[in-house]
Amino acid sequence: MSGIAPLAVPGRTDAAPVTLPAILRERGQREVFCGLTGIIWLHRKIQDAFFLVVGSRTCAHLLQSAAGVMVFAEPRFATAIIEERDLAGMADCNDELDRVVDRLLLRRPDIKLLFLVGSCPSEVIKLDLARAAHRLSVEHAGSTRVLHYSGSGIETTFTEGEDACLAALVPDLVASTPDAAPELMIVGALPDVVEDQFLRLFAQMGIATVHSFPARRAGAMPPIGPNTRFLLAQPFLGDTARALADRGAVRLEALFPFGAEGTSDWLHAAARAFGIDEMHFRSVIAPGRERAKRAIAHARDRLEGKSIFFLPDSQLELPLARFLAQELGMIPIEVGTPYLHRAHMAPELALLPAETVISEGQDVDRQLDRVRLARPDLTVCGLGLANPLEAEGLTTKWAIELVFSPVHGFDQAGDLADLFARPLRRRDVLRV
Amino acid sequence: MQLTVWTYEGPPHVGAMRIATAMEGVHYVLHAPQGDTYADLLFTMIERRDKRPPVTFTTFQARDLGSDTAALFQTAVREAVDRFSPQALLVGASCTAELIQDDPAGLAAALRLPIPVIALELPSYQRKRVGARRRRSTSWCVRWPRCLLPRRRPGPRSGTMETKHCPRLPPTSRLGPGLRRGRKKEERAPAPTSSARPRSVSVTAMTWSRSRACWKRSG
Repeated sequence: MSGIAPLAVPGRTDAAPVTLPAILRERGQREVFCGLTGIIWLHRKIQDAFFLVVGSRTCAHLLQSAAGVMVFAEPRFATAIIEERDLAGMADCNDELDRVVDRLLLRRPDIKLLFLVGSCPSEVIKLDLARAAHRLSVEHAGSTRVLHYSGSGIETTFTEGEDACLAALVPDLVASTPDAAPELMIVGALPDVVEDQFLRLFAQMGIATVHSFPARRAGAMPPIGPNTRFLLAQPFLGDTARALADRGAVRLEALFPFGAEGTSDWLHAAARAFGIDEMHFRSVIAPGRERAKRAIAHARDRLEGKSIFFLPDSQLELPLARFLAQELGMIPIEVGTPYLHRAHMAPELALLPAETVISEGQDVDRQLDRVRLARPDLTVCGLGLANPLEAEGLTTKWAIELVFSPVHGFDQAGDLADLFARPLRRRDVLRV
Repeated sequence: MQLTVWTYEGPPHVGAMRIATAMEGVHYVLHAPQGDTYADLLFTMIERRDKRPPVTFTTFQARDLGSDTAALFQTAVREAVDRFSPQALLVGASCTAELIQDDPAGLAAALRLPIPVIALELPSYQRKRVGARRRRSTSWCVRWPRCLLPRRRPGPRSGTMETKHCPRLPPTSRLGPGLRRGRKKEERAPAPTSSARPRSVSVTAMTWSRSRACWKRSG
């Protein structure tokens, strides 16, 4: 179940296609989360939204296992558990769902935006959540907007849950006025502190209007139109980018904002699009860039020349591998990603070392065979694999920490480098 | 449908994973969609085990639903048996796979493996009741854990399940003080002899019925 195909990707300047290393594609057991996991950070980001998963006990158990601590604080997520009555046709699923939502909104009137999140079971039984969302939106018009998206493992891998959620928000965005001035939109759920840092930089650069999508409140979602230029802050937002383009917005191509170089390139794409003077731009980013480089240098001694193996998890693997190779001198042996978006990843792929094996999809047992053969200095993997690999003598890094820690931008570059340096430092210090 | 903020219990296939992990020489092939592998971290992180649970997931996605998930399951079984060489194989379906009705038991049996195949019935959508009168407000009964018991079944088979490897599983379905009451004849199976004749076993989920003070089949 594996195949290798050569990849031709258009270069950054729309010149002749660049042929890049072959992509290893495998299909087997995938050791990754489903898209429901995205709810954990999305419900923190959009502060008056509620995420109602329509699924089974497994979905409720997943959310509880993954977000355990938050569950006790009346969180803004829950599961409507499908029962045998619903499946056997003794109860009408749609009536049941309406009843559950009515009860929820009665209890929590502060909810302004309700997402009905599809799961594997709801999709297999073909429960029409689109129609349910529309019906409930009409019923609760004026107080709560009801949208839907699929976070099922059948449709979405881990961070693709965020992609599905944001894509569901796009059709409802207010259209900007026809003659509006160009506006910048940052796309992707970033920690508030990181977002504020970027907004400050853009303001200093002289870009007048900058919006974040998603906004922190349901009622504050940004407008969209042909005057919108958007920058993807995350590499897993393919559907969202397409939905934004369908509304007329224009994507600005850039590296993803990891590390000093990635962040500079990302900010530069905005500066170019808005006609900011080059010297002014450089003077604005200089302090942040310097800070980032100095912070990264602390980790360089420990990381330079070390090999690293990424198992697929969040789609952050390629940009992070590029950052580690380019700015820290690490050697990526294999970079596995659940899905490789050709267009969005083109600038990243161009900067990876030529010998890097890039794999898309996964057969976890075969990939682990390759890990054991290669004995990398550092293996980035999921929580289900980390301790077993440590027991085999391999140093690991929890991939999920890269999703939940602030890692974007100049001020987090040092922290990002340290996330990789820490396991190696620990290995050197611990004597077992 | 029940609005649930938190649940006392995990789904039954996770209980089966716990049993497989507690045993040696056993491998569990679970027909499940992508994402159900989250359960691995219950073992590797919360219990800090130094090995992955002995479970292979088929992790089917949308594109597999459009083609042949049954073949996917059989490939997973074959590869798991080749790679891990278990003495016995557990097969089952998680809640979603139960809905696509692929029959993991039949699919595994069709492979004619040289080891016994134990098919697990894991009804994921049923609610347990603790007595008809005292209806709990929480949906899922928390009092008595499900117990998976091997049940004798005649039929072609090719290996014995060594009960000494699973001390917590009694050799028959006899368990509990109220056993004799209301039991059908075939369920009062005798304890296994030490006959070398191999048997296949199937496992069914049983729950303790408090009102009747006996074990009964779930659902």
